Parts: sequence; C-alpha cells; structure tokens
Amino acid sequence: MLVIRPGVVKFGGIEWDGVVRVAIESSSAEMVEQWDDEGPNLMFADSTRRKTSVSVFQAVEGDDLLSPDPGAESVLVVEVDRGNDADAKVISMKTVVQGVSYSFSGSRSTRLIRLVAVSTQGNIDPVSVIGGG
Amino acid sequence: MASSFKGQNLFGSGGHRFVNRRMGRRVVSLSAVSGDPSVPGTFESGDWEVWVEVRGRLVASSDSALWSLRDNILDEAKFGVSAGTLRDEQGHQWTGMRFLTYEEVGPTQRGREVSVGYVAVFGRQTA
Repeated sequence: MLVIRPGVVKFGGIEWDGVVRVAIESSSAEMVEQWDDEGPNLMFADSTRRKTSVSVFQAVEGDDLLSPDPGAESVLVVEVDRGNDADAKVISMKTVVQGVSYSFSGSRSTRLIRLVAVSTQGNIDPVSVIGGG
Repeated sequence: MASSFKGQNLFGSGGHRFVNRRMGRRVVSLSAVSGDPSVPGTFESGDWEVWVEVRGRLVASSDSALWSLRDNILDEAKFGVSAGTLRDEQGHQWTGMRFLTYEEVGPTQRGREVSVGYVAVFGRQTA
C-alpha cells in the first residue's frame, strides 16, 4: 500500500506532522520451495514467513529533537482523506520502530521512520483498513 | 507417473525426490571389529544393503489433513509391517523394501498451505 499525502498520521496518539508519504510493504521473510523428480522446474512455493514494513516520510521544517526510539511499540494510524467521506479510510496497525534516518535535498530535509507491523497472532494480518467503499 | 510403496501413493501430496544411499562392497575396519585400535587393515563383508531415501514435502489444506497424510505414512513405517515394492516417479522399482523411518525436517509451515518437509528411508534388509 502507498498513501500519498495522508491526512492525520499518529503513532501512539502523538501526531506526526508533515507526512508526505506512507509506504506499507509486505514481503516473504521465508519461502518454502519444492521440486520433484519429473524435471527441473519448481513445482511448489509458499510464503511461510511474512513481514510488513512501513516507511513514513516526513518533511522536516526545523530542528527535530524528538525522534521515536528504535524498539518503541505503538499503534500507527494513517488517515486517508480524499475530501469525500465515501473514500475516507483509516489504516491502523501495531508497529515497532526499526530506525529513523534523514535525507537532504537543497534546503529541504526529510525524516524517514522505518517500522515493522506486528500481529497479535501469526494468522492475522497486522494491517487493518476501515472505511471506504 | 506417481511414486508408490506397496501400491499406495504415500508422498503424492507434494514434490519429492528419491536418493540412493551407499551402494557396492561393504568394507569393514578390522580395528572396529576387534575393538583394538592398533589392528590395521580392512576386510570385505558382502555388499551394502539397498537403502533409498525419499525427501520431499507433505502439503495439505489444514493441519488435520496433514495429520491424515502423516498417519497413512506412519502406518507403513511401524514395526512388523510387511515389505513391498517401492517405485519412483520414473517407474524404477525396488522390490522387498521395508519402510524403516520417517523423519520431519523442520517445523510444520503454515502459509497458503500447511506443509512439512520430510525424509523417509526404505531398506532391503538381508537376513
């Protein structure tokens, strides 16, 4: 999932200002693969370990002295507001901060917060999307 | 062609491969037989027994379905169960084989399907 210029973004109830982009990416941390004796081609594959990574890109206007600590755990809420109630959505997930980094382009600064989403149980998708059509 | 043991398609839920274990003359260390490490040399003691491994993955839609597959396999691997013909997917046959052991490789994996890797060993034991 990719959200460009989301509405409100909160981590543990604290609003993060200036978020320009939120990328939610799922990938396999482990794939099971199996071949047989009939020939060279893979004939079974399954994703048995999955990981959802979240990247929050913020435009930073001034000093930034209150970055979240790596390992901090809280619920991340991303509101998607397109000016139409029918399209409004709220994405939420429990997350753990992996790290914070900065990049610079001219006079502009961007803070990147990297998080991983965690689930209460292995068979439940950690990301929930509520609302919308 | 599906593989089989005594006509049963035990491993067909997922891919599997056949591996021949050591074949040929069995050479035994005299020191091992005598229990005296100072004794040099070896001697031949017939041929290696025919042992074949089947390495693969059982695949099912649920844990209970996977247990059914396991149970079918274990029924053939118990003490006293008769020998039979093992056939691979290419039609090669080993007669007089016993199902010796079934061992799982790693934990049961739960993704789109429920699956587990295994090694099954068959042998033609000489009296």
